[in-house]
Amino acid sequence: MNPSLLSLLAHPVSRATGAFLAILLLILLFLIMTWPILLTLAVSIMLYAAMSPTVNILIRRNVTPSGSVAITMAIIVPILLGTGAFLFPLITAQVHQFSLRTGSVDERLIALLSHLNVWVQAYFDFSFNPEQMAESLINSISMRARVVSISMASYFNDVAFSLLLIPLITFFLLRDFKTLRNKAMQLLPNRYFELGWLVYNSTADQLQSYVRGISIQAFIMGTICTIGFWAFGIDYAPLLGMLTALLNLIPFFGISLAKIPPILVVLLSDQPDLLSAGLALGVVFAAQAVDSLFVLPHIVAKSANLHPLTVMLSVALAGYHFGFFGLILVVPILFSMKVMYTELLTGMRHFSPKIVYHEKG
Amino acid sequence: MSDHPLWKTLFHGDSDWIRNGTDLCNGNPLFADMPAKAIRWLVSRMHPRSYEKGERIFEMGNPGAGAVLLLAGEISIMADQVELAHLKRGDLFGEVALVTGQPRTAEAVALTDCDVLFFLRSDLKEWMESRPKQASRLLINLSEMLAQRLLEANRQLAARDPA
Repeated sequence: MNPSLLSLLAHPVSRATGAFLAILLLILLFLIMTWPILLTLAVSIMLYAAMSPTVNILIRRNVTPSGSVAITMAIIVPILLGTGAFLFPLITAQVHQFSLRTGSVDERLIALLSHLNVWVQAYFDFSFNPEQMAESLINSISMRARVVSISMASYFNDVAFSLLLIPLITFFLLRDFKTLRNKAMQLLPNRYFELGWLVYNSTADQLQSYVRGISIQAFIMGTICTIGFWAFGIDYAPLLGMLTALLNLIPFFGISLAKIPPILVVLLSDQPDLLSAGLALGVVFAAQAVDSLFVLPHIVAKSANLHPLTVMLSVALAGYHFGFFGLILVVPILFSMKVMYTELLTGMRHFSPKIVYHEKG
Repeated sequence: MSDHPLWKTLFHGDSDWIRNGTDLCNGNPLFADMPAKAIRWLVSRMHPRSYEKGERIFEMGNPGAGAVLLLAGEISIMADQVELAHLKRGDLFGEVALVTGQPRTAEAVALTDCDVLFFLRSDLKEWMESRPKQASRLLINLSEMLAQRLLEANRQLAARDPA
């Protein structure tokens, strides 16, 4: 082969890129293969992450590994599944109710838009058709709400099925994950064995702390908002709390986006008033203050550390192509990819394996 | 094809290398004063690898991920083409990497086909999290071994340059 091509292929950047693309391909294949049970797997992995510290504490107290897993699961799984079983139908019912109500708010929306039209005409010298705009908005909102409601109902069937599968997968993950991981790492060729482990450990450490940080952040935000909305009598408190927590995770845009759903719900309620809107905003402000002052500096220690332009463009594009879940997931995915590629590149730069073959015998 | 180290690595009979590794660790100063059950548990979490004659186990200057226990075969530890040590079955080497990821100060080359067990720094970290009492015994042993090496190196330096 051409020597210059060989040196190009041997360059750390080429090798890191090759390995990175191979890993991405494997992940993509895994996602395609496991698509029907992806939700079940995701929940099991989250349970595994939440329960493994407790399992370690029990092992430290000389309980056998299987016994530790069984004890932890006997306590935590019923609590988590019970909470899920209580919250999921509640949220599904609220989405369904919201989708039904959007049809009855058209008159209020037309009035609001007519006022806006008069104001725009007075100050900017152009106008729009309030009826047409209201109809299009109502159709769009009610269609989307109906789609979410239907998909949540179908997810409930999945969750019901997963109630059997999730504890089983979680049990085996808690008991055998490290063995399975070690077996997978055994597939590495000898010359990349140490490098593979160094890259894996470094990547796993960073991703674990990042995911744990944003999960705790979302949980705290969601809890504060749900309790606050409930306390001030704002409709759909758990649904809004969850939505605000998720939207708050989006960098740059999230801080503003998180305030929209509660305000919309208050404005579209049967008796919209300024005090409720102010209280809803106050709850989100309070939650964001707690987030900025206590949660971000103490829990989410490792920030995503991505360039602002990259984040803005990727959030905008992910939102356009993949909708709400694209908005929420794009930054964690980009961060994971960045960590993985950086660690591979660092590893390839430090490792320059030369193979020496001697004659056997 | 079936002789390739990858196949040997993948389809090692588990109990064989665990038994072999446990026996060898029982006689090694790094695992002194540790219960046999704990040693067996730890060995079962190590990573068996097979190398062909002439293959490098690790290279000088590369970051180390952990220590290596030689299960079978012979290995030469070399620095700048000079052999520093000739290792045989039961020898443990590269222990510095259990403490730090600093670059290796020598390279290890297989003189014959050999089987080794990698004891990684991350294994030690996981062990410290789940069984800190037993892990602290191993850390004391490791400190003693490394201190012994330092004293020996100081003695050699002093002997080379008495002034």
